Amino acid sequence: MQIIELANPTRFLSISARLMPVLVGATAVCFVVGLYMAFFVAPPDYQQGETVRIMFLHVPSAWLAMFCYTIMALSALGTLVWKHPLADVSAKAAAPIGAVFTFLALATGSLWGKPMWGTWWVWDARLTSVLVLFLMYLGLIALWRSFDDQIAAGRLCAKLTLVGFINIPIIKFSVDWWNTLHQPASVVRLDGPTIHSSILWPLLVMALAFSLLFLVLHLAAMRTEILRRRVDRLRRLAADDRLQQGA
Amino acid sequence: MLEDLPRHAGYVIASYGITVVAIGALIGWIALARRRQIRLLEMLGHSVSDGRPAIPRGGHD
Amino acid sequence: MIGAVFLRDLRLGGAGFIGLTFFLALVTIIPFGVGPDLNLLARIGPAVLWIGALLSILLGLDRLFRADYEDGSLDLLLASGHAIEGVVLAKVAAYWVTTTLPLIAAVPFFGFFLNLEPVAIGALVVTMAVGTPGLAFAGAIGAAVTVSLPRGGLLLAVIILPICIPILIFGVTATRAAFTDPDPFLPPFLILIALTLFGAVVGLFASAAALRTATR
Repeated sequence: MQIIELANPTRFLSISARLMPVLVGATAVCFVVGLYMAFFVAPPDYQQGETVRIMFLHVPSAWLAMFCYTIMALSALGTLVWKHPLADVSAKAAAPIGAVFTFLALATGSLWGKPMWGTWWVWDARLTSVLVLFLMYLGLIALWRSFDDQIAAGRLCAKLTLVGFINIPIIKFSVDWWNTLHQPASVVRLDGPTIHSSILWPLLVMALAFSLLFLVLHLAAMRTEILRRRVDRLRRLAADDRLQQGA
Repeated sequence: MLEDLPRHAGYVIASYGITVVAIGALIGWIALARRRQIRLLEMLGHSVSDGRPAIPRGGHD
Repeated sequence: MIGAVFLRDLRLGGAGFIGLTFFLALVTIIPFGVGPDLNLLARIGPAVLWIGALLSILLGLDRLFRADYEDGSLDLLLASGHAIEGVVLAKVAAYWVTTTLPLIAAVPFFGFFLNLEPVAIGALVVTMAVGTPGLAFAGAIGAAVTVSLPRGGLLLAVIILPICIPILIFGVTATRAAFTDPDPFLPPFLILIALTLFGAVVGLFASAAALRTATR
């Protein structure tokens, strides 16, 4: 049992240690290119002026908020179905990152909405369901922190994550199903994107940059979580030792 | 549209600013947590690099 | 077996009275906050009563599985070989009867405080009778997940509220449609029924799964 415990996380630690510099470099490059394109390649919008540049933050944040929850749902399957040792770690590490991206999606959307629609917030289907996603992230984070037994916490959070996954298709299709203030899908559609390539390409590059950033943060958080579990285990073993010596 | 530029620029700056702050805080929080765990591991006498205990343990579970 | 658990929980259930009192307190303080304008109260009345019912349900959920978990009878029930889904069904049903049914019975009286028309009150009773079981089952998920946490009550509410939102939306929409002329009552009402059924199924299996983890 002890060898199995060491093998996978250790291999993960060594592989991720070698990947990290490459990923960090790629992330930095992507952001530099993306920001350049966002400000110097994409033209100011006919109606929105320079505020269209907020889109290059808002849309990738929103995509990543949903992508992160999907990663957590897949990790939940890994915990419940395959009992993979790293699945718990992946889910726990992803939650705060997803919460931050959701917060950014809401904040940048609000800052974009004020000049565009004249209001900071509206209770339409998409904004409401993204706010609900933010609440779900916070609930899961709180649940993780409430338990001493992290294995039990992992299983419970996995089940709860899967129950909440229904929100993701609701967010995606909310602008199609209900008449909302938020604009309908213009990139990920069956017929292909409808926005102009001079705006589409900077958006895709920024999306890639954000995705790489997520990967870097997720791996870093997983590495820290593995170390934290190791510390906890060693402390418990040390406490057992002291108990036995005292007896 | 030129008179719109300075007015809306504030929203753009605020958006990019809040993004930088939030992601920076996230990076900082992860880095601090990692530093803390490494310190704890070293206090317990174990090395971080390969995960194998510095002192071989025997006779346990 | 299910019947036995149901009857036992019915006898034990004491949360009905405090839930009712909380509901009354809520309905009383709303006009203090909002102002005594009767038209305004009539407009927001259905929503206020629905939200009050939701909060009252959430209030007592903490105790749904806690007592059985702490004295070990949950472990016994699991070990006895009976499907835990049946136990959950019995306990949630008993919870609904002891805690929520009094609320629904009290709605006509509270409706008077908020200046609601009889049609609105009738619609409220019907939509609540149909929708609150869904809320109870959704709440059971939170109760099961937090059963091993000593002070899990607030966390339970945070986890469950997002899941309860659709039922709340359609409950209030259907009620309001009953007394607003062009709005159709049937579509939101049918969706409400569907949500309760869906919530019951998901709640049943998710709670059972969570309880299995908690007693492992």
